[in-house]
Amino acid sequence: MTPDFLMEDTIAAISTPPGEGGIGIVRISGKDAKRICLTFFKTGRKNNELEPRRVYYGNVVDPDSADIIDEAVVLYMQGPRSYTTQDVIEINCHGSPIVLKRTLELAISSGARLAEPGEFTMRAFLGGRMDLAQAEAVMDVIRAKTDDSRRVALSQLKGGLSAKINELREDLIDFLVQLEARIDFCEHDIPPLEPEYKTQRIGKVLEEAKNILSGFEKGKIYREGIRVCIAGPPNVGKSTLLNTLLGEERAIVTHIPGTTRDKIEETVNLKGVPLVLADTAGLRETGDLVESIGIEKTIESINNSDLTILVIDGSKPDGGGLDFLPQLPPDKKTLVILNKSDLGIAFDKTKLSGAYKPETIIETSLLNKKGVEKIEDRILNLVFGGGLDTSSEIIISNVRHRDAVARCTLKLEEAQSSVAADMPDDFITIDLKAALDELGEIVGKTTAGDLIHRIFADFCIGK
Amino acid sequence: MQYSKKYDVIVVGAGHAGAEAALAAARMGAQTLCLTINLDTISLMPCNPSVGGPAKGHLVREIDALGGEMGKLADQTHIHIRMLNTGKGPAVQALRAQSDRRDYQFGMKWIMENQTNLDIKQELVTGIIVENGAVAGVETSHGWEYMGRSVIITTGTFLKGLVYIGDVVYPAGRMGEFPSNDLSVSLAKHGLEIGRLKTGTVPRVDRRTIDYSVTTPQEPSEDPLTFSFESPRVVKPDQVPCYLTYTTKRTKEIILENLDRSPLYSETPKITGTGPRYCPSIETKIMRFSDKDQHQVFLEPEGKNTLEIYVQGLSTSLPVDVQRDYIRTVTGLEKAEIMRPGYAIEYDYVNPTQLYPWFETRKIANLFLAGQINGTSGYEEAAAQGLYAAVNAVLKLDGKEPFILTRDQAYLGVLADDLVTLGTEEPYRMLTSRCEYRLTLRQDNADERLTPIGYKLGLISQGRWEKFSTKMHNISEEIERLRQRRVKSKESPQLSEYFKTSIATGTTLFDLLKRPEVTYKHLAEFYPAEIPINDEEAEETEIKVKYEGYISRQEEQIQKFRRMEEIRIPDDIDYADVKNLSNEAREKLETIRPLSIGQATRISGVTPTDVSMILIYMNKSSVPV
Repeated sequence: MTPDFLMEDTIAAISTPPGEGGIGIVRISGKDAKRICLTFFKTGRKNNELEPRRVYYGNVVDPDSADIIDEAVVLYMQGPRSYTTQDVIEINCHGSPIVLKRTLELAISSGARLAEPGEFTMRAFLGGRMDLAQAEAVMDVIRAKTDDSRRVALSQLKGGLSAKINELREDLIDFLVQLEARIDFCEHDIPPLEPEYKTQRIGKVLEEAKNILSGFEKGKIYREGIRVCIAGPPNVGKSTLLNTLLGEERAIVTHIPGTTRDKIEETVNLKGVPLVLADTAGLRETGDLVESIGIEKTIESINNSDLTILVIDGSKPDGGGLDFLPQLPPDKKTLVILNKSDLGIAFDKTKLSGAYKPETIIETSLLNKKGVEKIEDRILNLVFGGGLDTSSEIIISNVRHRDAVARCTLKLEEAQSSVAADMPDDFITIDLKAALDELGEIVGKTTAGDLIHRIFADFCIGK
Repeated sequence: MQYSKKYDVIVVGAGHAGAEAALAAARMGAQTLCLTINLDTISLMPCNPSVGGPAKGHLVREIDALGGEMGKLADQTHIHIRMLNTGKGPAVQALRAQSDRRDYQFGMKWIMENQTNLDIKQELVTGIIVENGAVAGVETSHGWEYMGRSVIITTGTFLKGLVYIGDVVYPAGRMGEFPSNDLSVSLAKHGLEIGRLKTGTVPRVDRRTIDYSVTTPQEPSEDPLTFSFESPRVVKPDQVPCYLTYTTKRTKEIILENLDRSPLYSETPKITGTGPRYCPSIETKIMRFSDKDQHQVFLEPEGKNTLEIYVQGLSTSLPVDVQRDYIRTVTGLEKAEIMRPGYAIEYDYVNPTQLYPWFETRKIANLFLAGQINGTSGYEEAAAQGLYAAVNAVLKLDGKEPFILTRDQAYLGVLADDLVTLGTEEPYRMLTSRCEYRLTLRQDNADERLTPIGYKLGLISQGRWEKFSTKMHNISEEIERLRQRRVKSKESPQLSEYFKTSIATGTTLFDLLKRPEVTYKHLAEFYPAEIPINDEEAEETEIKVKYEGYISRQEEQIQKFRRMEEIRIPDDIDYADVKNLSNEAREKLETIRPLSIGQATRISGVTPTDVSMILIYMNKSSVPV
């Protein structure tokens, strides 16, 4: 028996561990793979066609704006002679996360569905391309990763977006419950809803969903990203590093004062990767109570981060005072910056060699903006080189969430036109439920139980 | 003492579930015995004698489409009928009828008495007889052992039933009737896990003590309305109105003053079973919706030959003196005399996750459960389950595949799937909002959805089948005509004038009918049907054409859903053997043992990854090593 349903949708994913500078592949598998690819891949030839087992050079073009996203090389493998035994398209782009993300988005807006973790493997296995041992090995990893990635996807949402999505869901549920209660309990004295009221309720959600959507377009959506903690002794250039990384060419997303006066969080979009930078108070081993609280806070901040940037004054032999070093949590990804190289390096790097690898130590002169690119590259390298587990998940869930919000707005627009056409309430509920399901997909909630629960909570109903 | 006659199917109970079960089994040719504590309370409606309403009316139509009795009997015995939700879309329209309680009861008794293959007897069943893991019969309080190859239990509120009226608590199946205590013990002894639920009903008052002049009458419909596709479509004469009135501030005060005397709200509540949220008692309504100063009350006649009036909205378990006092604060009821007090009842049920999707228990082969024992509430829900269980009991005896309705086929399919997949901790009521494919599961097309199945099962007569086939033929002919026929140029101005919108030459009638302002009736004035189309067929044609876009979109979703349902999980799958399942998923899968991948996805706590793991495992075991 072949479980067909998993093979039915055409799926797409970034199939290479993405790395800045190299090649990245967006893979599409399923019966519509070719059609989907051709909606945004232009070979430049008269007939924009793809023959099996041939290589095509062309451009990835956004069909709406006609913008060229990237040059790419496309391979078309016709099923069953492919990895998954279905039609498979591989789009080889440049490895930049932004390009890959845009290409994947185009595949999805052209009709592909974002692959679930392990879905390509699943198809390969079910198509007989892979033996059981191989498949199980892959699935082991996926099992371990899904829980992890769910956590990551959710943690990204912890900030504004998840609250916003939940607010929209609540709004929609609230309105839907009003419609449903009047349908299922029509004999109770619940006054009917006016069309203007319906238009206004749907309109409000629609407007906010559209706002969120445009937030995605501008890359301004995630307050949460990769959490980077900047730590070090006082007056070594931590704040300068923060300000440098927040340079004008990058969009500052939010400005959230920390919970204490000595911690500031800023979000910055580094080549498509959202970073949450936490600046901390200077660390100094001292008996002073206030300062030891400062250390505790910094350690807490490091513990909550994916990456620590330890800033040291390279011009001083003691690095500005490193007595606190043994107190820092071990096993944390750390980048060490020897700042103030313009004053000459007096600090002995070998002091750090036990704890930190040489390639993670960078000399900079932040005052003169020297070495900043190295820091950025190093961060991206860690992110995309697999040094930090969270990277690809962030991009993927970004695409997934954007897609869900986009579909949600479409459904809301349909509901709105049903109201305008004076369609009976039942037809309005169809689209509203679909819209709600889309939002539920983002925050991982289902609808049916919620609705019924709310009907009973909100309306006094009974014999 | 073993009774000499051996049965194929024994039905325990003759309420709405039991009656439909016994009839369906007998009609499918099984030698059937139906046992009830009291032959005079067959198909009794202990709450209001009302049949239908949103979702419930859909179930009645489905029961009818499968050859059940409830719809026909409601058509014959109603004293008030209305179509509800007329403005909210064809899929949620629903019929609701008030029957004459006694007529309904004795109507059903007469039908059962006259059914071939069916014996009905007055017996209190005290236990089931189990041999080799399969049920073999039942024993009764009179000392008989009735042997049957299959047993369907439909005990309603009777299992260890306890009636509560304030401080007064006594064992009863319903007010004034024996409970059934031993049977519950027997079921538990044979391995079923028993839970406890609660429900309640309202006081009835003497019609002569009501001042109707201060209430609002609600008239029955003047249109011919019927549940059954077989009943003649005529307006039943002698229908009566219901009356709408309200509680007052004083009602609220009295109830709040006496809350400590409520078995639900006293300091140490006596009732611990969970009650239905959609059917709260008046004390619960006042507690939970404290900002409301008045609550709606419907005064519904219980029948033609009685003065008892059902006071809908005032379900309660407060003491009788409090009931007397608060009922007299309701507008129009100032002098009301209570004839029967309202009461709450607590009873045993079997959480339905212990059942196969065809309502057979997993623990005991050939033992089926239907109705309130499965945690549901409502006559219609019970009747539907009775029919479903009986069909499956007979199919199993005949060595045939089970009859499973899916969520895209029927409300009954949604009901069955919800029960066995999710279980229930409160009395489960059917609601249209529980259905994903509501637009497809309309009450007007229940026959189209289910009568072919009923016919195959042997529950639909040849005559009815032919009538049904003609109807389907006429509808498709008429739709075809609408597709073919186009507006001619000379017709266009007249049509545009009539419908007050511009209608171009060449438009098909099909597209024309899709417009909101165009109805079939009006269209037929210009373009009368070429074959005789009756009202029912016209209505069906109109819905199919008008909402074609929405319906076909839903059809796509249904196709997807079906493919998931079609991937069957082997019966003997050992989930301990499936790698990489989460603990929660493994536990749930072991308890519920879904039949299909589709069903597995609906179990809470089972993620898509878990489903992938099952699929991989399934593929593994089907490949020879």
